[in-house]
Amino acid sequence: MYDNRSLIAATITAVLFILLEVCSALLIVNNGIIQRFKAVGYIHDVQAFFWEKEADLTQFLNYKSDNQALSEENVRLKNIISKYRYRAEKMDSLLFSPENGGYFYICARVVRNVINSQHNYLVLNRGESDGIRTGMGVVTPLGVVGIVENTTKNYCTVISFLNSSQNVSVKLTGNGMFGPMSWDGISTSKSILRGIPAYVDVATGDTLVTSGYSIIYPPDIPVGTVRSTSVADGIVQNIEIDLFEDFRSLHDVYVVGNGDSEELKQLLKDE
Amino acid sequence: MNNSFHTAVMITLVIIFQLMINNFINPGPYIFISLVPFAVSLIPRNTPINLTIFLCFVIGLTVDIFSRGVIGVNAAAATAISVLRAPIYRITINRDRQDLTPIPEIRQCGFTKYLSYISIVCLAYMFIYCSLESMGVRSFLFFIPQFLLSSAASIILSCCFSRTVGSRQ
Repeated sequence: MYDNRSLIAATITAVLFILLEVCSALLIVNNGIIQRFKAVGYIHDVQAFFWEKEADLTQFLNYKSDNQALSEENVRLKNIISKYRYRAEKMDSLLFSPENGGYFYICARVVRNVINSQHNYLVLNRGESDGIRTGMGVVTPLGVVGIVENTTKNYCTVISFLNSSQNVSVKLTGNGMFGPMSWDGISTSKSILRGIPAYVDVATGDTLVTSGYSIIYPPDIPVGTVRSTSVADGIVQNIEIDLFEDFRSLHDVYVVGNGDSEELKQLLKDE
Repeated sequence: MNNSFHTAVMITLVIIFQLMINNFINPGPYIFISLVPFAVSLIPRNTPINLTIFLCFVIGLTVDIFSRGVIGVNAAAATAISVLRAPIYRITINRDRQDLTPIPEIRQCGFTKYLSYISIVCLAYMFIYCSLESMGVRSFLFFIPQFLLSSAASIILSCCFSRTVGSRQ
C-alpha cells in the first residue's frame, strides 16, 4: 500500500515536472526567434526521420510487386538481347552451333522446393499455358537450377540440379577448359567438375560459367568458383566448386527455352 | 507561519534584486548574473516536492516576464534545478549532519560546504540557461566563457547574499 502511494506520488511529481518544463519550452519557442527557428528545425529533423522510416516500410511492403515488375522487365530485356544476339551471330557465322541459339526467357516463381533428398525437385507457377515445355532449362543470374520435367496447364515440375543424375556443362573462365559439373550429393552449396586433365593448372577462386555446349542452358551464366582440386585416376582432376546459387532461398527463376532445340535434337539424332 | 512569511519576503526581495540587475546593469555579453539559484535555495527543504517544483517555475517565470530576455528560459532552468537541489544538498552539505535548518546558510553549513552546494546549483542552472538561450546557434568559444563567467559571478553574489540573509536571521 505504502509502495503504491509512493509510486503515485512520484508519478504526479514527474508529470508536474514535465508539464512545467513543456510550458517553459512552449514559452521559449513562442517568444524567441532563434529558439523558434531551431525548434522548428529539430521538429523537421524528427519528421524527416519518421518519413524516411515510413518510406522504407512502404518500399518493403511493396517489394513483392516491385520484384514481379523487375522480373518481367528482366525477361523482356533478356528476350531482346537474346533475339539480337541470335541475329548478329547468324549473320556473322555460317556455322550453326548451340552457342548461338535463340534463347528466350519466361519468369517464374518457385512454389515448392525440395532440397533435402538425393532426388530433389521444384514446382514452378508456370505451365503449358505460359509456354513452358518439357526439357527447358531453369536458371537464375547466379547459376543453373534444373530442367523442366513435367508440365500441367499452370504449373511445372523441375528436376533440381541437386540431383545425382544431373550434369551441366561448365567451363573455367581462366583457361576455357570445360567439363560436366554435377552435384556432390552432400551440400546444397557444392558441386564437382570432373574430367579436367591433370596437367591443366586450375587456380583456386577461378570462376566457372555455363559453357553453352548444350541445348538447354545459354552460355556464360556464372555458376560458382573453384574451392579445391584433387587428381583422380592419375590423369584427370576433380574440382570442388562453391556454387553461387543458394538453393535454400530460391524464389524467382527464369525458365529458358531454345528456339532451335528441336532442330538441334534432330541433327544430333541423325548423327 | 512567521518563518514561511519571512522566507516569502526574502525570496521576493531576491527576485526584485534580480530584476534590478537584469534591467539596470549591463555587464556585457559574456556575463549574466543570476540570483535565481539562490532564490531556489531559499525554499525550505521540508517543502513538498510538488510545491517546490511549482514555486521554482513561478520564480523563473516572474524573472522572465519582467526582464527583457526570452520568456521561459529562467522558468525552464529553475524548474530543472528544483529537482536537482535535494540530491546536491545531500552530496555536498548533509553527508553527516542532520541538525541543520531547512534553508542552507553559509554560517551554519560552513563556507566550503555551502560554496560547493551553491556552485553546483549555479553551474547546473547556468548550463541549462546558456544552452536554451543560445540553442546551439552561438559557437562553443562563446558558450564556454559565457557559462563559466556567468556561473562565477552568480556564485559570488549568492555567497554574499547568503551571508547577509544568515546574519539577519
